[in-house]
Amino acid sequence: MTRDSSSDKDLLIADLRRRLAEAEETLRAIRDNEVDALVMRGALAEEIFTIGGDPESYRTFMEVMEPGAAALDGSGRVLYANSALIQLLGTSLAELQGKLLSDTLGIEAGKEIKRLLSHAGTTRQSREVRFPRDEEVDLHFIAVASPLQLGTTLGHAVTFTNVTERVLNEGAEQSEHAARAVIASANEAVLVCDRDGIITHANAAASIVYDGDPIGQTFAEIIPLVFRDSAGVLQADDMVAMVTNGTPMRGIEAVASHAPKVKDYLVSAAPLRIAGDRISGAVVTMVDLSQRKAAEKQQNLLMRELDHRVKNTLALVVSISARTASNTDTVQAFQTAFSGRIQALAATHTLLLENSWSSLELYDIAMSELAPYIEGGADQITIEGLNVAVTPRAAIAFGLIAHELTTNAVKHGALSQQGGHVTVRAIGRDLGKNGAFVLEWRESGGPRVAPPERKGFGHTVIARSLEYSTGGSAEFDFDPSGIVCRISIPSEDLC
Amino acid sequence: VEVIDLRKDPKLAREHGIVAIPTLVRELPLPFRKLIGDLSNTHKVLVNLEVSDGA
Repeated sequence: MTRDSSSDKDLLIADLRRRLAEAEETLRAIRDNEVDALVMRGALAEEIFTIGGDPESYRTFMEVMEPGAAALDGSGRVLYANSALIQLLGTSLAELQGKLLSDTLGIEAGKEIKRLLSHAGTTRQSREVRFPRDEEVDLHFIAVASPLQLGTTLGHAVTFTNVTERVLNEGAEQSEHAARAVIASANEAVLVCDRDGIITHANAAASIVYDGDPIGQTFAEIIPLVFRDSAGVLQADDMVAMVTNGTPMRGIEAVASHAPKVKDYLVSAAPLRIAGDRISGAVVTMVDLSQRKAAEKQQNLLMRELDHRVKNTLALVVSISARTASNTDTVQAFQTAFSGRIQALAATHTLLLENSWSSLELYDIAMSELAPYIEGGADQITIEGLNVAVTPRAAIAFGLIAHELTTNAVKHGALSQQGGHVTVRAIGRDLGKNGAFVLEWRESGGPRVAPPERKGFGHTVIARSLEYSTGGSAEFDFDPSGIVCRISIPSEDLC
Repeated sequence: VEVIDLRKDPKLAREHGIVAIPTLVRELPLPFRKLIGDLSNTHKVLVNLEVSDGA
């Protein structure tokens, strides 16, 4: 063996070793999944076979996907994004590639994506992401991240599925639930009609306007309305037509003649807009007016009553004035007597007002006249058994009588001097006078009494005040030891 | 360092006897040295090249 041949052999062995090492390195790289593609000898030329999928076919697949999709490397940087996602983000692929996906989504959505990727190390994860928009409705997406082996690196496949419509529908559904709850809980009758006037919804309170199931029936047929102020021109079907054309109607009084009980209603109707501006029907609200009507009647009654009473009072005042004038000799005497009588009338009115013109007890009336004289001589007055309630007209009459008797007693009778005494007491029912209530005013210990020479107004008032009824009267007995007056209150005026 | 995309020019693979991608070929200094597979670990790549260079 020559030196040259020995050297060639060494070179050959070195080359073989190198090639063996290279072959082993290739096999190891393939086994360790470090190789992206292999070069194969084809019929004409070398061909490249990508191991683990061709990126181009991935991309083609991603492009036809409806959801936005991106392939991210291990640190969350965009390797590739499909056009759906690019459009959603309003950017370009060149802008997006190499950037952290979380940085391109805005603060809130970016945080969500970071959280999503951190949880999707080995398993698929999903999360709802909201993209706020200034003037339009926010967009809602379900973002899904799955681990993805990209050649030799581990990254993520992320998809964004638009669920805005679903979220909005859920919101709309919730609103509808709320609206239904509102309608159901309303005390007023609420009925919803479609554009043809067919009732589609009605709450429980609607049973006061229609006795039965109104759903599917024509509003104007089952609830014919007569509007008070329209002279029959406007009817229920005109109302529905008007409202579905966009003109709302507020608070119009109507009579629902077919309604089971209550007939008077305050009707309001508004166009029903479900989607956008299109009117899809009418919402009719009917409020029971029977209580208001009853209150109006009561008010009218009270006003007529007041008118009647004022006229009566004025007539009484005129009569008092005329009588007082004919029985007094000086202006001074007239003034004193007249104002005293008017004040007595006013005192009874005050008592009546405090009791809302319902009823008064005879005791209260007598006390309002006698009270000024009790303070000085409490032992001069005794009142017994007068806790009897009477109507306003008897109260006014008894008030005037009590005033005249008191004035007379103070001027000329038992209260004009020390030792005099007045007793006002109940006698009982007089069956001969239809059960009238009889009481007695008796004076004693005063100056000696003689029958008057002429009958003054006081006497006339006392005698006539209660004569409006057959059971009512007042009679005098001019007993020398003191005046006695028997007063009968008609039984119909006892409460 | 020249970067060659073999998908665009597969002929070059035969000339350099390349069967797998990625492959890093060191032509100079001799001898030829090939690193096949994961090249992302820069330190490992450099060490490999230097170690083989010294062998």
